[in-house]
Amino acid sequence: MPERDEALYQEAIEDIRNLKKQRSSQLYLVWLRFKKNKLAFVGLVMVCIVLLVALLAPILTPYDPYETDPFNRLQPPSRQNWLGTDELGRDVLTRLFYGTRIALLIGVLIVLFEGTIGITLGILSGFFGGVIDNIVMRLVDILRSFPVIILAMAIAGIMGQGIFNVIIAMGIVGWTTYARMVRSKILSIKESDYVEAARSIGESRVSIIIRYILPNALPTAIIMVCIMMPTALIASSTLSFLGVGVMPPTADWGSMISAGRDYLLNAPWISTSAGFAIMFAVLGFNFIGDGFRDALDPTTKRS
Amino acid sequence: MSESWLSVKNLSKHFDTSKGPLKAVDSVSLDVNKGDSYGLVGESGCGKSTLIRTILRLLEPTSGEIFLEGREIAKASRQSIRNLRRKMSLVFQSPHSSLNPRMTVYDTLARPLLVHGITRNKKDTTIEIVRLLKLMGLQAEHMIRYPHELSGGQKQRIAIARALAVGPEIVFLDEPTSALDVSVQTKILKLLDLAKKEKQLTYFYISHDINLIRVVSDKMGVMYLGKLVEIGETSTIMKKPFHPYAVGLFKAVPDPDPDKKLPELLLTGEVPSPVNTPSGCVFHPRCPFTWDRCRKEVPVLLKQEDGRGVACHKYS
Repeated sequence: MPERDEALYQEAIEDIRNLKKQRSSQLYLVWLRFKKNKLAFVGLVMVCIVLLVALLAPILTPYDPYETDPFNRLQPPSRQNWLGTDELGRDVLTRLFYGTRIALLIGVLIVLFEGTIGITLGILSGFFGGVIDNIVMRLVDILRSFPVIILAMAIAGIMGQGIFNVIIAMGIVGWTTYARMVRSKILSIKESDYVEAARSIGESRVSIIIRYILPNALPTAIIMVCIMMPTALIASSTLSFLGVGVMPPTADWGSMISAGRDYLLNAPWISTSAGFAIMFAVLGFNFIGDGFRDALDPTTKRS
Repeated sequence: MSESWLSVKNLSKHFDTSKGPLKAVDSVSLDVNKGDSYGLVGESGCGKSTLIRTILRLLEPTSGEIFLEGREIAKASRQSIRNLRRKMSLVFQSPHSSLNPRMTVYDTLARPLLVHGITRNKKDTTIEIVRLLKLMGLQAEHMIRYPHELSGGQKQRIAIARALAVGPEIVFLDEPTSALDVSVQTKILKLLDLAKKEKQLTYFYISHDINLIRVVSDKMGVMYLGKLVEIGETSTIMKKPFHPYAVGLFKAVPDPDPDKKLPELLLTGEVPSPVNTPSGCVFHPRCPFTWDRCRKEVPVLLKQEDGRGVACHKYS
């Protein structure tokens, strides 16, 4: 009955076309859920401000972050220098703006670096189990038995200061968090009814990984990246503060706090404004991370 | 070897635990004829689900044989298991967890068709999916929906449609209605019945719900602690169960008459652990008729005059 088939097909196509008009895409639904979450939206605005400042730093300020001015040392906030000047007479606000670039660069690179390693190893160990799982998880146990900052300091100490050494030092420790989370997610997906159902209709192993396991593990990975971003920011600032991170002349929030510490009583604006910048960025990313966690979960319906 | 269409012989599935083997299914034999509805009833944890998953070869059998149309499938190779997947399919208890939350209904139903090369182009696939949806009383527009946009009953109908998509001969139904509202249960059962007639299917229900088994099955089995204790025609067993466990289980069903008192509990005590099964008859610690022989000797399923089989020393 080919005519009936044709009619069925046309009817179905028509039905779907009508429905698609009224329906919004999955991404749009995620956005709606995200927007409903007030804190997440505030976080988004905060992060956008940070991004804009990083991009427009040279336009926003007339000063150079590295040009010293010995006659204007430790000036309090004024009309010329909104946040005052530091111990070498550099404009604090300008250095704060340029520090945004370093902070974002390091944050993103750390997250990318540790995320790539951690998610890959987490998938491998969760899916294949056995020997691979044992090796990866014991490595995680060993790395996690050290205090993160101490280990990163040791690594940075061995390799010397510099942006890329900070990234590598943080990544070597940081990936363990991703690996654990992704692994446990994959283990729970592997035991789920829908994977068993996929086996019962004859899906191959490769197809089960690509079509069933990975799409369901993806939100966990995205959320992890968003939540780990502030951790990476704080950790890199801590390293700079301790003097094993970004090299001193570079405008960096962590080293600014560290440098301002000696003048905390007579020029408190140096350390506090850098501390506030870190808090602002970290808070923004945290709010976004929480918002993503809620928005990406398809089981939480729009209510 | 056997004339039955699906025949299971002495099938066992043991899981290794730190305390010793867990006998989830222990030496079970049963026969299903083509076109029948077979109902397997038993309390949760008695091994019903493990049994059907072993027959479906989603779990490796520990020992025993399974014949489908006279062909041994318990030791079938990977390639022949793939072919088996077209003949036997499974509907899960909970439609909320058996559908991939990241797949639309279209993809969920297209996968079995594409995996087995049943349809080759997009148009044929779409037509086949619309047919399956219509058979399950759904509309073509449901195709582009995600599971979380559907109600429990709709999800279960999608899950049934997926099981039917491969064009199976037998469908295993693992408590297909117990996760659904009562009002939806009847609808699902009616749709299942309709599909059975249209596609000449064989059904294998498992449930803890005796009333469901009473309504849907022609033949039935009662399972306790990994073993079949009574098998036969549903009408015969329902009228008068022989095995003391079956008697107790059926008596435990409350009567819908409010004037009647709640039934007296014949089954006392707890189900023993399947790791440490009692000696002899596994039911003897809870059985009101236990005597010496029950503690020492494992009873076998013996055929009675009316055609049923009972594994109890009382009837041997």
